[in-house]
Amino acid sequence: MDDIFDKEEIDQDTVKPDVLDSLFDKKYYLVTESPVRESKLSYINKIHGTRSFKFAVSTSNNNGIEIFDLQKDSLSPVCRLSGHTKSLTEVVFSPKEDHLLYSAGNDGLLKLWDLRAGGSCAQEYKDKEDELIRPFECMDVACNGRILCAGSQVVEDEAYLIFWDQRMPKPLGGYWNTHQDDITQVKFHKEKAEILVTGANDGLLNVYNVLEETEDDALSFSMNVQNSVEKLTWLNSIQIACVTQSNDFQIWDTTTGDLVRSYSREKVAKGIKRSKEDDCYIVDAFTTAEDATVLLAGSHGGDEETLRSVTVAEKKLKPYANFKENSQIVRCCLYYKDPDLLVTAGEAGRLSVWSGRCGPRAPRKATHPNNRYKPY
Amino acid sequence: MSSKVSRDTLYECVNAVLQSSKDKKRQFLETVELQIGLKNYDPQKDKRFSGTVKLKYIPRPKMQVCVLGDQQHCDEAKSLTVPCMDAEALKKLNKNKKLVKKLAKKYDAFLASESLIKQIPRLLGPGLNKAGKFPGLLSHQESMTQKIDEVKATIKFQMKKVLCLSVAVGHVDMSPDELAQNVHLSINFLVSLLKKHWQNVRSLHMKSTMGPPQRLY
Repeated sequence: MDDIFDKEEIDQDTVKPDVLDSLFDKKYYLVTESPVRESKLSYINKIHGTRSFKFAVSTSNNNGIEIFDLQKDSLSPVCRLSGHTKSLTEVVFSPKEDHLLYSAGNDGLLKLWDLRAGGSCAQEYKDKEDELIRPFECMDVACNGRILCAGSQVVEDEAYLIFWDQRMPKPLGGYWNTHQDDITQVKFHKEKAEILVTGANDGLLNVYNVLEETEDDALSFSMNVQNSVEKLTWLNSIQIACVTQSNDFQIWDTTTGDLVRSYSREKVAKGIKRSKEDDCYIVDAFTTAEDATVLLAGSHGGDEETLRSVTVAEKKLKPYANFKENSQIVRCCLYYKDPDLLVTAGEAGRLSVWSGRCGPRAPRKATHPNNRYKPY
Repeated sequence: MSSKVSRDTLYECVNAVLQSSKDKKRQFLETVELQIGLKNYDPQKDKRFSGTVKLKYIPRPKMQVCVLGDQQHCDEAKSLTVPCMDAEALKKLNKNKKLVKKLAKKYDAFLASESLIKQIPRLLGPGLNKAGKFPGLLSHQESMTQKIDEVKATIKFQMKKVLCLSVAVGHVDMSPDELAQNVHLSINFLVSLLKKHWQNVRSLHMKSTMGPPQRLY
C-alpha cells in the first residue's frame, strides 16, 4: 500500500482543442452578463425565472434576493429584497403570476414578495409551533399556484414537509414520517398539482399524491438513491433527474419507481472530457426543445472554469456544448426551450445569459400569447 | 504528488489503536472511527456534502441484513441462512406501526427484490423510511451474499452543522492491514468530496470507541 497522496495532478482536457471543438458542436453565445450588486465574495445559490424573462437569484451575503429583467440583450437590475435573518435556501416565482415571488430560509420562514409594490413582503408563512424553528432547506409552489410546500432540516429527530394554502399564513398540515434526514428538495409536478417529489439526505426520493388524506396513503413510491440528494429537476411529465451530493447523476421514472439511468461522477467527467474526476461537478439537467436530456457539468480544477454540457443518449453521455466564456463555478441554471436560452449563475456572483440560436443575437421577449402557458 | 499521510504514519496509528484496545480489553467489540476536522469551509455558502463509499473490509460485521424477497430470493436466503420475509409475511404486519417499527429495529438494513421494493409503502407504510432503513434493490443478476456484504461494507460521510465529522471505518479485531486499507480508502474518498481537496482538511484522527485518539494528519 502507498502513502496517502495529495493528487496534485491538474485537471485538463482529455482531447486536443480542435477535437474538443468538433465534439462539442452545439454553439451557445454569451449574450450578456451581470454581477449581483454585492458580488464581492457573494455566491449565487439559487435562481428562478418567469416566462417574461425576469430572474430572481438568492445571494449568500446578507441573505438577499436580487431581481433582474432581461430586455433585448441586456440584464437590468429591478430590485433587491431582504428580510430573511438566516441563509436563504430557495426562490420560486408563482407559476400563475409573474410579480409574485416566494422565498424560503433557514430562519424557518417562507415569504411572499410582491414585485409590483417595489418588492415588499406581502405575506409570511410560518410553522404552527412558534417556539420551535424548523430551518427550511427547500420549497416549491404547485402548478396551480395555490399550494406551497417546504422541506425542513431535522429538528428534534423529525424532518418535516409542511404545506400551506397560498392565501393563509397558517399551515394546512405536514408530513413527518417518510424522511429521516434533512429534506433538501421538493418539486411539484409541472402539470399535476397533486404530484410531489421530494429528496433528502437519507438517500430517498419520495413520490406523493397530496390529495390522499393521510401521509401513509399519499406516499406512492420511495426510490432509493442510496446517496444524499442535492438537486431534483422534472425532465418531462414522468421522469425526474436527480443529482447527488457526491456528483452522481440519475434519472427516475416517477410513475413506476424505476431507475432509468445512472451515471457516476467518473462517467460525467469523461463525458465532458476532463481528466480529473475529483474536480468534476454537476450543475443540473434539463430537456431541450428537441426533447434531448441535457446535463450541465463543470470542473473547479485546472486554469479556466470549464463548463460543458452533454446529452443523455442511452448508456452514454454525448458531448453537446462547450461554454468557453464561462468564468465562474456554476451553482444553478435556468433553461428556456423557446428561444433556447440558458441562464447560469454561481460562485463569482454573476449571471450569464447564453443563447443557442445562431449568431450572437438578442433573445426575443416572448410576447406571443400562445407561448405564455407553456413555459417548460 | 506530495505525501499527506505516509504509509509509516498510517501503520503507526493503526497499530497504536489496536495495541491500546488489547492492553485494556473491553466487554464488547470496539469500533474504530475516523475523525475529520475541516477548514476553509463555510457552511453558509459552500455546498452541503455527504456521500457513501464501499470499503474493502466490513467495518460492522455484526450488522444484520434482512431480505424482503420474492419466492426465488427467499429460497436463496433460506439456503444461505439469511433472515428473510416474503410479501405474505409483510402483509401480516397489516401496516401496524408498532410491528413495522419492531421489524425496523430488529435489523440494521434491508434488501428487497424488484417486485417487492415498489410495494413497500403499500405493504408497510412509511415505517422503514422513518427508521432510515428503506431497502436497497436486490436484483436477480447479482449474488445475494455479495450484495449483503456490500451493504455491510458501505459507510456514509455526512457533515452536520459543525466543521468536523466522524465515520466508523472498522473494528479492533481487524488485522492492521485491513484497518489501514479501510482508512486509506475512506480518506481518499472524503478528499474527493471536498471542493479544495486537501486544502479543506484541518486534521485527521483515528480512535477506537474507548481508546485515545491517534493523529494521522
